[in-house]
Amino acid sequence: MEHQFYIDRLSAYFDNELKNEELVIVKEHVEGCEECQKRLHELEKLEDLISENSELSESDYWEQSAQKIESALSSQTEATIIPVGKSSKSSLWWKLIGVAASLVLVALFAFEQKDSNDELLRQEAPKISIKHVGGAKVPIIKDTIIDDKVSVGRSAEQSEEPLAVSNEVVDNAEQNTSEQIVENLQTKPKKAPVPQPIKKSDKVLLEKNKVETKKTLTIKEQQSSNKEKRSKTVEIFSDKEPNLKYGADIGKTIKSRRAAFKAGLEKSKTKKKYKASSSLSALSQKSEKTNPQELKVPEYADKTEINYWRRKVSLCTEQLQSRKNKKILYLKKAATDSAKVNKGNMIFDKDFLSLQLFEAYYKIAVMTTDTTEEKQAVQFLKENADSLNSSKSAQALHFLEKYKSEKNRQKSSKSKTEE
Amino acid sequence: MNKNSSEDSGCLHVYTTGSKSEEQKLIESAQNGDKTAFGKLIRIHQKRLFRFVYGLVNSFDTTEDIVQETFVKAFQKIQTFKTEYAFYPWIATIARNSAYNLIQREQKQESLEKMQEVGFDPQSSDLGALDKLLNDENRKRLYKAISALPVKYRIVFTLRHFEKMDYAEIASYLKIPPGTVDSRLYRARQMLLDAVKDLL
Repeated sequence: MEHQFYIDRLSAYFDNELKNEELVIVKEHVEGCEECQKRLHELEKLEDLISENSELSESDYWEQSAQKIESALSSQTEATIIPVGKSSKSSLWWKLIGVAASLVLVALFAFEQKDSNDELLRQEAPKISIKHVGGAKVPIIKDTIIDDKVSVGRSAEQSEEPLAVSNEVVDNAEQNTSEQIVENLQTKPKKAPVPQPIKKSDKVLLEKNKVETKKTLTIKEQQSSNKEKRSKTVEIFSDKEPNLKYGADIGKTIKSRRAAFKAGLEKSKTKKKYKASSSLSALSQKSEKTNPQELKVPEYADKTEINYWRRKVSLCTEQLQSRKNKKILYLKKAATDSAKVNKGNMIFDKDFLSLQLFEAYYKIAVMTTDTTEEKQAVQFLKENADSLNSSKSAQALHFLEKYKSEKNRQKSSKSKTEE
Repeated sequence: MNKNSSEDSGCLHVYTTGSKSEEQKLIESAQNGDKTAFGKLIRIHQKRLFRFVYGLVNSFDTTEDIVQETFVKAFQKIQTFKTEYAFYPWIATIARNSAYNLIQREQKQESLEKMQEVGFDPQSSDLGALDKLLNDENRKRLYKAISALPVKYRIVFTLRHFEKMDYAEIASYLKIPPGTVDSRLYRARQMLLDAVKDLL
């Protein structure tokens, strides 16, 4: 064997880390090799040098360092442990701070609705909501005021749809707490630049003058950066009355589907997913039968419009992510009753946006000529249709069914033309 | 086995004697919220812990931060500590996890080639703030040489010489083969021998 082989193993030999044959071979070699013995001797000296000099010197530094750590420990424990005598007073302060923080966040959230990108999403809101409120026949005057107050700078039309869906989603307990918050908000409306609350009578007027409102929206859009594209889409939406009905239908069915879903869960926990999807598919079929007219695909499918839907997908995704982040923030910041209200509002907005997102994906799947894009869009809908979130899955399922029926219709029309 | 036995190795040691050692009593007091007792534990172990962490991260300020963080974490988790085990290996584990995470992050930022370029150059190494903790010239020379080792060699060297870990323990900790531990330690020793030959 070459000498280098032994040299490479000297370090391990020195540390008694060699075993069996290797140990025997190296030991035999070292006993008869002067160079290896010399190297071993160097290693021993180095070991001595290290053990003699590895200790750090005694110094004031160590005492100072220990005191620093002790003070860090003290500050940590002071921050976490609240003396018993002070607990009630300080917890009251914390609650007040929590409430104030949540109000600020609500106001910030409302301001964000003014975001220019958001406008594109908001334009469709009234169409669904107005019908939905009527369809569901839910008297929600107080909540309407809430939303109008909270959503600073939004038009009456823009604020109606979220309300309709929120009433479907937020449970009674949360509504009660939301009323408390509204009362709080109503007592301090002067401080924030909040517009006057919109009354029920105003709503009727607004509905009557819907066309005029749409025109003003178009003008606003023209002033924004992507004015040409946006104004076109606004006009398109304002012409599409059938869309209003399917929105109302979705709103109605969400509640019943959720009930069916919950019933399914209670019956069998082991077959959760299957039961949910089956009950939802049954409900979806029912929905299809009740209003087949609303499920027609718009005829304005061209390149510009698919780009519009693509853009809408990205906007909805962004908004959903933003709301998700805000929800986390709320949950972290406030563990009070007001947090529940905020959470509720978040859920409604999420539902609203997911509805928009699914619709956009459905449109893309129908309009696109790219099979990959179509597959991706359908896959997205399928995944969400299988989700255990009842409202989300109902929405996705609705558009999935719509997509399937549209594809069938396209096939049959194609075969007819061929004939 | 007394508390000194825990300083022999980086692995966990179990106290086998029936009577409680001084350290065990301090730990029990600390578990009951006695910060003075924990302060004594800090004073017993901080120097060794500092040397160990410095060997890994090679930066005085970072070492200070990691040591402080380690003791704070240890105090927070002291309830979970079992007094039949030695205290130092436990805090060393907390510290080395922090340090090793930091090293991994730095290694990702700096390519291996760059590290090799920096390589071994004891003259360029500056001890900086550590200098005040080394009152002897030989000590300074040795620490300079250790500091100048490339990080992968320095870590293996530190674990072996300061923490007295065997090859299998180092391999397991660094998730590298024992053969690699052997070769890295061999290289580290060769570099140190070249740097401090006149001191031998």
